[in-house]
Amino acid sequence: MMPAVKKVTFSKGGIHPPERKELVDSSRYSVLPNPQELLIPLNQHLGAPSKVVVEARAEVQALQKIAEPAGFVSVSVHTPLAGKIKSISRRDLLGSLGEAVQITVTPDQPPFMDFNADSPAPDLEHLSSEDILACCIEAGLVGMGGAAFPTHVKLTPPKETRVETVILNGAECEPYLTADDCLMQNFPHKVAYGLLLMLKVLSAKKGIIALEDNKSTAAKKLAAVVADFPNLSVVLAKTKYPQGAEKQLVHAVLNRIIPLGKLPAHVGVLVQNVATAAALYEAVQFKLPLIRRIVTVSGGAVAKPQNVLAPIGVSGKELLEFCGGAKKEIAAIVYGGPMMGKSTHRIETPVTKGTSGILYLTAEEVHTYEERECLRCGNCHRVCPMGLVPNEVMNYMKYGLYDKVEDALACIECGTCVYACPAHKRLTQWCRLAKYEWRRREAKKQGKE
Amino acid sequence: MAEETRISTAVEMPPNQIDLPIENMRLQSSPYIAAETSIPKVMYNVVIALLPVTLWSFWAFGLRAVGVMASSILFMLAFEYFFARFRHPHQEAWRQTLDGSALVSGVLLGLNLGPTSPWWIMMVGALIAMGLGKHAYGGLGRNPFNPVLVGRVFLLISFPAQMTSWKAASWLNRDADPLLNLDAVTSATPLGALKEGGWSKFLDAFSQTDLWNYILFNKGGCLGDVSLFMLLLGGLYLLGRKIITWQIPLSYVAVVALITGVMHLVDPAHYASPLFHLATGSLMLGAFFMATDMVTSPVSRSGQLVFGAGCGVLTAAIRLWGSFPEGVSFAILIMNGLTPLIDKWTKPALFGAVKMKEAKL
Repeated sequence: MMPAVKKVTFSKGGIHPPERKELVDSSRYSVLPNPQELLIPLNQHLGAPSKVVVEARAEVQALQKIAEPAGFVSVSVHTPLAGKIKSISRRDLLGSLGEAVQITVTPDQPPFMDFNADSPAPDLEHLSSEDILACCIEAGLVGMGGAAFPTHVKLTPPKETRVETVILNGAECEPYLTADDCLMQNFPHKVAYGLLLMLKVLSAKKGIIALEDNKSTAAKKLAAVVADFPNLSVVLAKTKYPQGAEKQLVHAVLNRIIPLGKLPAHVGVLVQNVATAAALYEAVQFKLPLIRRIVTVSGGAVAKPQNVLAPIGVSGKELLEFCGGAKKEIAAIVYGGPMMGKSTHRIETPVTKGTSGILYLTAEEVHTYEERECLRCGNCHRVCPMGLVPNEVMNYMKYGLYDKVEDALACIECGTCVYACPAHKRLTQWCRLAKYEWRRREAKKQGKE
Repeated sequence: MAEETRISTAVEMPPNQIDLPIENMRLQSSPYIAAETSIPKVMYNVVIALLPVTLWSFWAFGLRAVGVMASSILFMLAFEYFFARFRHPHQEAWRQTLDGSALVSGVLLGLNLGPTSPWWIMMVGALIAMGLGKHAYGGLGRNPFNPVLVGRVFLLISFPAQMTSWKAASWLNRDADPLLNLDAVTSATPLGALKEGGWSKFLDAFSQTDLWNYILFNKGGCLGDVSLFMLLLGGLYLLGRKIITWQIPLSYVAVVALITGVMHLVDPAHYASPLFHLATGSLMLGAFFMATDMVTSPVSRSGQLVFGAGCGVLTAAIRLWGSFPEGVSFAILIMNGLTPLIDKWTKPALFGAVKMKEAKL
């Protein structure tokens, strides 16, 4: 049964990049065999890096906590597998320097924990919101859509706001990625129960699972599950990038506009990723920390693209080899989606809690165009979901008019402007620079006063 | 890439960590994919849109028209290379010459000239268009004024005789063109004839002709004026390919229709019907192909509406009360000059630039 709702979408801008999701069969996932080594970064989330609580050469058990939160905006980190701490050192991982724990995995141990096949309903009656939040912190939950913001912080909205609706973001608008789709198709119950737990924490009334209309199987399965709960519903959104951006999704689903510089909570909404909801359910129900996730391994260079259930900390190289290795020369390794992910040349960069996919792209797939003259055609403005005029920001930055780029603070760095530009101007990059420069100047000004 | 290497060496690296060779990798910040679009693709689409009317003009005017068009394109490309070469090495100048923008300029200039134009008209037009109109400002994307119109207006002011002697387009029966009968000495454009004699006299001359057939397929004047139908076909193609937006053509045409319509109601004997104004004097060529030039028109949708409306007001004013019979070129050039101001005034609101009350709480 399809949910009988009209398909919603956001109002401004948007693009339709080739989806390329067909490379991966999203209905199933494979489980990665235990790796020999793990490299678990302690700064995989936004906020303060976690404080390591184990020592080098110590033995650790599977699911043991290896790092504790360092402050409120921080989370614990656990090891998926038993082993011996080889080293704790500073690493450069996707452009950010931070400590990482290297673990030599004990051989011949049972495989790391797969998803529990049966999902009993959570006992909402006997769970207080404090219990659930404590589980969040204990399990080291972070947003699994990519930004990896600590979940317990998000579930504690500012005091002056009241969240009445929770939207689960299953839009997965990035091309190539099908990790969330796979999760929703295989474990719709876990997603729905996770949403119920979130509603409980916030005493919110309504839970909405929003996904793009290219995931009809997942939508059907979720609709069948939520039919039992009057306060839950499934909403289909049009397939359009960036449908999964927080502000755009809230506008599409509830027709509410989040004012600039405000949180969704200010309009009574909270947005969480579907994988986060499933992880929350497992943390509460099975006391299971966040130690593995579904990762889409795809791209034209991969021999057998597929969704893989991978432990946190496993190297990308291991995943690539599991997927049959590279069949063509790799021109770019992207962690995340091709529109907003991060690129690296380190084939061993580990999977983190926020890694929704690892893409091994060939030269034909990667945008390698030379920059040409801006035609002022306005494509960048017309596709910008925030209504920016990116070419103007670029020109202000080029000519050093830094006091005119305040608008760029609204930029969500979705990359649509670069995608649509016939001159292939690096408009998103200029906006990023503008944001950085504006904030730097503001901080300097405040320092003087 | 140099920076990346520096960071890597600064960090403690285990010996077994494998890096793919950096020089083969695309290390950049997101996004990594882009639409299959480019400046040449945009430009050649404009050329495709101009093909129907160009071919029709060849059919209507014969070999002279082919000569005008070919020389216009050749001179335009030659001067593009010539001026680009001042600032760039050969390879870059050659690439700029072939990126399609000069080709579009060449075709547009050709369409703006009469079939009897002598070869040096095309040369001077291209020289001014590329030199004064485009490269004096720094080349593609930097010119505040539409280069083709700069060239054309220069020609119109400097060589009015060559620029306003037209040839009738009736290839079936050249003597039957009613414009020839209006003025025995030389042919004139419909707008020129209107300026001379007024609407009622003009209508008398046309009473024997199938006016619609004349306007849609068979009009005298410059190459691009010959067939309104073919022009609209090209305009619709551009709209369909999303090369141009509907805002500028629609507001332009609507405002001209409105003003000339009101004046026609006031004094039907003197002022022509608005349909006539829409169909003549390169208005459609201007509205679909010249005013929509991306470089010289506003970026935002509201700005484009203002721009088109401004073109409409100026065109109507020049035609009705000015001394030139037609005003499309002047109107667009003047509005080109106002584009930065329009861009500033019509800066679109950001998504979320609302007060808390309006956020539908």
